[in-house]
Amino acid sequence: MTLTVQQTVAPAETTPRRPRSPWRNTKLMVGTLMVLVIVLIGVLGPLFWDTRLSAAASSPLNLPPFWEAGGSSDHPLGTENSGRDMLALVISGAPATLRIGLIVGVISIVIGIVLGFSAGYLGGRIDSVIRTLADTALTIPALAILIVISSYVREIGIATMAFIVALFAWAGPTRLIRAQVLSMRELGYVRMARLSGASTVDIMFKEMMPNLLPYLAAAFVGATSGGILAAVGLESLGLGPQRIPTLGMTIYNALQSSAILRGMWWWWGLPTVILVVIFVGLFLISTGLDEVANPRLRGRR
Amino acid sequence: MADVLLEVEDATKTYHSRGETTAALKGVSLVVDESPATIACIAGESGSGKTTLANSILGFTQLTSGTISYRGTNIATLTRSQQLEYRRDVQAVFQDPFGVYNPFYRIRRLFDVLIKRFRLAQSKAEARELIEEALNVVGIRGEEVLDKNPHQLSGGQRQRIMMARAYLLKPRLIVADEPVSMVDASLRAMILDVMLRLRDERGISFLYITHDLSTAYQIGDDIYILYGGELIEQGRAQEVIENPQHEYAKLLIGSIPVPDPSIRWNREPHSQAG
Repeated sequence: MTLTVQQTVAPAETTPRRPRSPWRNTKLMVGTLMVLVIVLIGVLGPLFWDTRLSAAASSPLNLPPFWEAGGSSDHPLGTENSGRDMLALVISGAPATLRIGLIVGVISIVIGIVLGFSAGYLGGRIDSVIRTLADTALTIPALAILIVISSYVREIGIATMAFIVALFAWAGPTRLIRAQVLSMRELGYVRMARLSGASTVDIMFKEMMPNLLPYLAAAFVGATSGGILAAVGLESLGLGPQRIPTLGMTIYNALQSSAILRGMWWWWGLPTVILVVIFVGLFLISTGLDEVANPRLRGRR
Repeated sequence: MADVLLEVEDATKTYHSRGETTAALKGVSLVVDESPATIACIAGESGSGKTTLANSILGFTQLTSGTISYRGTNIATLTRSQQLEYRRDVQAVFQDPFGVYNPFYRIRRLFDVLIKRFRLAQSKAEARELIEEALNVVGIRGEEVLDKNPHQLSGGQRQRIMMARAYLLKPRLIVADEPVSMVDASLRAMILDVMLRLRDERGISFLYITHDLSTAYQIGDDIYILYGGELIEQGRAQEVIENPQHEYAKLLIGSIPVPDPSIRWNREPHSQAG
């Protein structure tokens, strides 16, 4: 028995270098690392820092970070106009923003899978209807509509916010998945599965879905970052959740209180840096996944 | 009187696109016998409608008019359980041995799926035996291929495994759509030989679809020649080849290379060359 095992292993070792797994992609790994850092800030931060300091009037007003003149180590990243601690704002704001993005991502990928597969695989009239809906949703200036909707909804929470944004985020994934399914439908192994008596559901989820994983992941990441962008946009206009200190709300407050004119760079700068890290991280993940899915894009090592 | 396995009657398929109508099949009728098992060849050039015919028989496309009957039942009216039965009895091997494998799975799954869905085996050991037997028919040992990924196999191996996959179900008919046009010459002979053996030893009929009349003549019992969606020539292989009626058929048959024993390859055998 051991002999046969050795025999099967030996030729594998002599074959000229096995191609490296496409998943070990630099962009993908750096991007994941950046997003993980943000997640860790949200998960571990509350263990080391009191997030109640993100409430107004919990700290002295307008303190700069500790390394500037007048800074205090009690509030290492400074405080803002209403006595909120910046470190606490970042610790509770970053994961809140990420959570909105993830909820939007999940909702739109689920809708995208259901509609995209129906349109691409079943075709015909169903396809026409879904395609028209998705194309229409794509042409609507989402932010304008979202402003109207969110100004009517009182007491917005994280979930409500995410649902509102998701209203327009499903069209992209739907189109992408439909296009992929459409081209896969005629592939040999899909025909083979039909010959093997596989049901439509089996063909969709067992034959096509595994091969679509990189695309689905890319669509998910795209929808997530689109969702964050729309959410932060609304929050910066003062239309976001009022009770939860999101990053967008901090930026809104900073703009309202002329933080830039008053030279309080830490007020608007810190949330901006966190947002940039999130966006660049998601962008890298998305391009990395794209390279995983399209061998032609893979860079030379 | 031979038992009729599959009967195609007056099959017509037209496609409409942008106001233009293209007829892929124009009133094609043919019969494949069950006993004795028959290799019926459909020959024709690209665009002659032979693949459309195969797709209709396999249920991938619906005919515009005409019927396809399997053991006397129109396949368009099969119930769900009858459809599964039909799938079990009528299998296929395609031209491209690469695209038919889902790159996500190992070879083993190809067989496991069939065994599970058609309840071919009661136990794991029985399943293993069935798979081994099917692979042996095409000259492959299970341990060589079952735990490999499709891309690790050669084209010839893949096409033989497809043959084994079809055989696993012990079908009555295998639709072989250009099974040898993408494999090299030695494998071509081997795959054609497998078809002959399955016909003779297991009583499996074939619908052998090809653009190559010489292989059709080599293994076929009946030959049907399609031209522009129409059946222009049909009959026993011998008759069709020796006495073609239609101009196009004459042309096609005239192009078969005939080995002439009087012409010798001007080269010494290898054993003496060294």
